[in-house]
Order: sequence, then C-alpha cells, then structure tokens
Amino acid sequence: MIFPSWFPRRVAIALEGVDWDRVLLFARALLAIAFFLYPVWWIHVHVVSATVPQAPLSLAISFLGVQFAVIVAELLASCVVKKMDEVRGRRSRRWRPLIRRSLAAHLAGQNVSAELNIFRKHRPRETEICLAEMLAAVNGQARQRLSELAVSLHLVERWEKHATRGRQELREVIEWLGLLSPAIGGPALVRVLKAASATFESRWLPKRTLPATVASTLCSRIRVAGEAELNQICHEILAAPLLVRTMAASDLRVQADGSGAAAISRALSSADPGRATVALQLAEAWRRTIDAPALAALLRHKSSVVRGLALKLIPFQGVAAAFEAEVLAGLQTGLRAGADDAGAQEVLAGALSAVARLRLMRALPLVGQCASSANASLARQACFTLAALGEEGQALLESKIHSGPHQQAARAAESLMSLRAGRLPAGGI
Amino acid sequence: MLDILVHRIYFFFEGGVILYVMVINTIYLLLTVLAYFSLRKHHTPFSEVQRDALLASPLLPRISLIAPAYNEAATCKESVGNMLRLNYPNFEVVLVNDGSKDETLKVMIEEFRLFKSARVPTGSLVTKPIRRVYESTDPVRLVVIDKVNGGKADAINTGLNLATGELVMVVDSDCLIDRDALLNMVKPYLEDPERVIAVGGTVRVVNDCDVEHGAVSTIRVSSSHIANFQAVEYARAFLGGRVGFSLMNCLLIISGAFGLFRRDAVLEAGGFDPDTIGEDMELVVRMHRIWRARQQDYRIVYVAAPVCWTEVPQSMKILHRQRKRWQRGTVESLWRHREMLGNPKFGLVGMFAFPYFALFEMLGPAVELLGYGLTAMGLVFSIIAPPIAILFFSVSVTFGIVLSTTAVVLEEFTVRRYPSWKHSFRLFFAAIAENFGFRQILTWWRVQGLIEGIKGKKGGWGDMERRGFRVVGKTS
Repeated sequence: MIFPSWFPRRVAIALEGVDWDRVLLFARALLAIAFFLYPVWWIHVHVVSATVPQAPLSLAISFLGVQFAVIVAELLASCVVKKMDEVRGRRSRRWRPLIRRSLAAHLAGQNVSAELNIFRKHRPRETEICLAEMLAAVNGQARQRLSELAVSLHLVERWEKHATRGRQELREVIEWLGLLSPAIGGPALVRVLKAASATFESRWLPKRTLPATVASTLCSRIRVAGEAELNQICHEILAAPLLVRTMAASDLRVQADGSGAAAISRALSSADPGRATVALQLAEAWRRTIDAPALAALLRHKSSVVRGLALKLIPFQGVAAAFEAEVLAGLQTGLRAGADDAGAQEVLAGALSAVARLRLMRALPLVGQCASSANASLARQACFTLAALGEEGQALLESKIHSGPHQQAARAAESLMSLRAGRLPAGGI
Repeated sequence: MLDILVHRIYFFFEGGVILYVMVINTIYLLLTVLAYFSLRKHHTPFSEVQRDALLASPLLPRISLIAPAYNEAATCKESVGNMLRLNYPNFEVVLVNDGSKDETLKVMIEEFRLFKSARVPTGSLVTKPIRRVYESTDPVRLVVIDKVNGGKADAINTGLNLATGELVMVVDSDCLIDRDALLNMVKPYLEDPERVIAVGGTVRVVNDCDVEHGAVSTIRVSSSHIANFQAVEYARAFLGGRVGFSLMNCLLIISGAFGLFRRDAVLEAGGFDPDTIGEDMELVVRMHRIWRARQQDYRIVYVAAPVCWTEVPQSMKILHRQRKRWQRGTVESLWRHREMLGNPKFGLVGMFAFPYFALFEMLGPAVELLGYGLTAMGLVFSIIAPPIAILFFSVSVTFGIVLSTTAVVLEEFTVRRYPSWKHSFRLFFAAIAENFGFRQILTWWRVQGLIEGIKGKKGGWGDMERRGFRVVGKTS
C-alpha cells in the first residue's frame, strides 16, 4: 500500500501488516448480518409495533417473520439453482457430443465451419469447453489447427472479455490460452494478463492473486512463450511457492535442457540455499545431470541440505566415479557428527542414497556403521543400502540379524525381505 | 415478598439463558456468513488442467493413509479398495487392525493377497505390541498391521510409527474418500509447506448413496430421518463452523475420520493420546498449545473440497452412545488443556476458540436444558404467559432452522452434490424437523456425556452397527 507523506509512519507500518483479505471478509460478513437485521428493525418500527406495544415482543415477532422469509428464500434459491443445473446438464449432454464430432471432423480436414459457427452462435459455452478439452488432448499440427479455429470462431476474443469477469473466469481463460499454439496463445495471454494486472492495480487495497492462479499463469506462459521469455519464466517458477513448482514441474522439464537451462544453472549457483535446494529437488525428481563443476561447488556448499541433495545427484552424472571420494567423505562426516546433528544427517542420507545407486562397495564398512545409527530412519536406509550392495552387504545384514540388537536385527530382516520380494527401493530409501 | 424474590431469581436465570442463546446464535450467524464469503473466495478446487499437471508432477509429497480398524469386516474391503484407487501418484495405505474380534484381518489378507512383511517402525511413539505386518504386491502399497487391542489412538500411533510418507492422512476404515480428495487436501500444504501442520476436510453422510467400484457414484438423501438429521448437522458443523474457525487459525478440531497431518509435526507433538476418547480434538488442541507456546508460526486449516463419506448410525441406541462419547471427548480435551482458557498467550485460540468450545460446545447442552426447564417451570407456576414462552421458543427454534438451512444452501453453492431439487427439499425438511424432538434428545444425551466426562468415565472403540455400503455393479 502507498501512503501519503503526511500519514503517520507508525500507523502505516501497522497497516502494512494487516491481512486485508481477512479484514474484507469480516467486513462483508458484518454487512451481510446488518442486511439481515435491518428488515427486522424496519418491520418492528413500521408494522408490528403499531399493534404490539411491548418492544421486546414486537422485535421478536419481526425477527420471526424475517427468519421465515429467509428460510423460504433459501429453499427457493436452492431449488432454482438445482433446476437450472439440471437444465444445463441436460443441454450439455445433448450438444457436446455433436460439437465434439464436428471438431473431430474439422481436425480430419473436413469443412464443417458453417456447422461450428452455428454451435458457437447458439451454444458458445459448450463450444468453448469442447474446444478446450480437445486442445488439451492434442499436439503439433492438430493443436495449430484447433488454435486457428478458435480465432476464426472469435472464441479467443470472447475469452479475453470473459477473463475480466472474475478470478475463476480469469484462471479458466489463462488455462485455455495456454493450450493454444504459441503464436496465437502467447499474444492473447499477454493481453489478458496486462488487463488483469491493470484491474488489480486500480483497486486501492492490495489484491493477492491466489497461488493456484499464479501456477496456472506460469504453466500457460511457459507453454506459449517465445524463446526470449522462457528463461525469465523458468526463473520465476524456480522462485515461486511449492504449489506453483509442483504444478509447473512437468512443463518446466520440457524446457530444462533448452531455454530453461540457464535459469536452473543460475539457481544452482545461487548463494541462497533455498533457491539452490529448489533447483536440486527438481533435478533429483527429473533424474537430471548437472554440470560437473556446478555439482562440485554444491558439494562444498555451506548448507548441509544442499550438500545432501547434491550427493543424491551424483549417480545421475556421466562421470559419477569422479565423485566417489565425495560420497565417502559425506559418510564419514555424517558418522563423525552423530545422530543429534540434523545437518550432518541430511548429508549422510544423501551419501547413503548415492552409495545404493552407485553400488559403491568401498563404502561397505561405513554403511555398516550407519546401520547402527541412533537415528531410526537413517539406520533403516543404511540397511536398505547394504541390501543393494550385493552379497557382501547382505552377509553383513545377516550377521546383524543373528548378533545385532533387536531393532537392528528387525531392520536388517526388513531390508533382506524387501530384496527377496523384489521391492528394494532405489536409492536405499 | 418471597413471591417477588422467586420472580427475580427466575427472571435472572431466564434472562441469562436468553442472553446466552442470543450470543451463541450471533456467533453461529457470524461464522456461517463468514463461511459463505470465505468459501466463495477460497473454495477453488483444482481445474482439470491443474489436476493433470499435478498428477504428472514428481514433486508431490508422499502421503500415508492411516486407517485404524476394529471389527470392520463388513466395510473394510470396499473402503480399502476405494483408498487404493485414489487419484494421487505417491501414496500408501496403512490399515491398522486393532485386535478385531471379527474377520477383518482374514478379509484383508484374502482380498488383497497380502504377504508377511518385516517392515519396522521408524517413529518412536509407544504403542501396544504389533503381532504381524502384512504388505500387498500391488504398485500402490497396502500395509496391514495386526496389533494387540489398544484403542483407536493407539492404532493410529502404530500406523504413524510405520508410515513412510512425509504427510499422513488419518481416515476411518469405514469411510469412502472422493477420488481427488488427496490432491485437494494437500493443496494448503503445497501453498504453505513451512507453516501448515494439519488440514481437515469435509465429512458427509453416505447412507443410501450408491457405491460403485469403491466410490460414491450416486448421491442420495437417505430414507432414514435420523441419517438426514445428521446430514444437516454435518453440513452445519463443517461448512458453517469450521470454515470460520479456520479463517482465524483457531480450528480446534479436525475430524478423526478425515485429517491430513505433517508426520514430523504429529511425532513432535507426541502422537495421538490413547488415554482420551476425543483423540482427534485433543491432538489439535495440543498442537495449538505447543506451537503457540513456542511462538512458532503455523496454520491448521480446513478445506471444504475434499470429501470423505461416512456411514452414520440409523439406530437411536448407537447414536446415543456416539454422542455421549463425543461430548466426553470434548470435556476431556478442554479439561486437559484448561490453562489455555482465556489465556492471551495462546492468541485467538485461548481468547476465542477455547472459550467458545467451553461455553457453547461443552456447557451448551446443559444451558439449553436449563432453558427448557425454566420455561416449563415458568408456565406451570404462571410466571410467564404462554404466548410469550411460545414466541421466544419459536424465535430460538427458527433461528436454529435458518442456520441449518443456510448450511444446506452453502453445501449446494460450494460442493453442489445432491442431483435433484427433491433432495434439497428433503434436506430442508430435515433441517426444520430436527428442531422438534431430535435436537432435544441430542441435548439430553450430550448432558449425559457432559456428566460422564466430568466424572472421568473412559471408553475404547465406539460401537457402530455397520449396514455396509449400498454397492451397485461389480467391484474389483
């Protein structure tokens, strides 16, 4: 919020911290209650008090009357909404198959534009929904053809207008535009987003866009953006909250080796552990190789979370053997620090995961020590790692079953049984 | 002189009851209206495009569904089948058989072709001994833990110890969950993973709904009035009350039938307390207490979109036991954390939610009963005129009806599930009819529960007469 220069600074600071969304909700609720109570007062003053002189009784009667009216109104509203839904449902069941058939015919190269124009004119909602469904299912030439159809049917124009109606509509339009081909969807999406931000900026209260809408926006932008923009969008996704990253992960993956690579590299080399962690989590989820020098730098990062995640990425490197020493060092550091050091445990978990994937036999004695860790999760992971290390690891596990303490024996048995059932988790986790 | 004194005492109490009713109804009204505006803004389930993007994402957190079961042979096959078919790429189902006396374990082993597993716990909660762990060979892992009977909380804690997800969802093993419920439930966590420690969803009544392939296919209003009264109650409690409390981050209860928790947060809080009957409420209150005491920023959230369907009792006998148990649970949870009451250290939880629960949820039935008694006494001794008594009774009852019908309308406008206007009509009828007899019976039972709670009566698993789901078509 921007305050004028004369505005008291303390009040301005206090107002900055206020959750205005919540204040607005409360204000609306109070207004609605006032709207409910005003008729009670009006009926009391103008109708009932003339015949019932005692004010409490008159108020009670007025209140009763309004309550009856509210109940009847709610019942009617509920039934009307149901009936409208029923009619709408029936209509869409009748029209949608016909529209889909025409769209399929259009895709097959038939000339059905007259038919589709009639549908667009009389059943615009059904037409746009069917088109969006079909756009979501196709790619390449078919996507281009349907995008051109959306323009020729003036649906893109319609969507741009539709987006200004509200948040839900805006999200829907953003998603649909993201399904169009980049040449058509890109400019339209920019126009919609500019119009939306202008609407938001014109309001005096700060408007927060819902995270799901932000996610849809970024997903759509990444699908229809030009080369120049992609790097910036990938950068925005990497800096966005978890919901956005989760939703955009698949779209981002497509760009990860191309235009998005620079953004990922920038995040990996960031001094901010949070940003590096995000990039590493994505790289791990995609099982993606990262530059060897970058990985080497990450293995020396000050944050133990980053170091742990970097260790997990070693098996996916083409030159994994070059990092074996780092894995062993990770195990040693973790073992030296003990179970109370949460950071060291992160490093240890990463190193164990790398050992299991690389089948790093040299690490066997250290992994054997990890299996006796006081941290139950790590000890369990170490047992799974031993099971992945072939006969020697399994022999070590069997010795733990026979001679180890009860908990260790149980973990060893669990990992051996998982191995025999063919359900040994990759990475020892 | 004595006559005047009696009149004064009478009107003092009667005035107190009227004031109480006015305050409680004002709060209910505010919460309901707040819920309406909040749902309008925040009730945005994922769109198809978003849903597809999420289901393809490798970043979704792993969820362990923990379903404690005791004598659930009639419904466990359907329920577990339903859980295994949920739309979520990264989850496991952990069913904990808490020493059932029926064939729950046998049904599970045979139906899901389980093999003996050596899975060991990674959590450190103290529980009754585990007899054996079984696992399925399916890609979506089903783990069945057979343990010595120790109560629902103990069973959940056992599941927590063995769960492998970073999030755990506690569900009743007799429930059916909507296909996309996990995605919708995980949404608040994805939006704010640092602060969100627990998420509650909506529980709805499944009686007489059609169940096909382990999911609710056709939603119907039940033919039983008792079930319909409860459907209205559930709508009022979930869409009316919880949305408002969640908005203020002072939600004191997440239903034990359907709640998502961060596993590390529950373990940190010490898990579910096996010594309480209302273990779900107790845990949530305890989490508030711990996190507020540490002055850590956190959120406990309710979301309306994910729905879990549960069979409600249709017999008065079972309902009686259930309501007494719930009331005892409320009394126990509030008593155990009584130092939070009116304590500004605990913020809105201590200053608003806790007093609200103590005054209106715990003592409410006793005050309501007192109101009925005073009115009857006033009529018998001619202290108040019958028309006035009837008028004030009508005002109070119709206000209750307005709140119930508003909750039903909220359900219509947000979840919009019942297919025909006839269903709406029947629910409205139930919302009106429950005020004449049913509500008074419930009040009496809750007073009994309150007395038992004060006396400190304990209890284990609640008895529930299972009719089983109304299955249509073949289930695989």
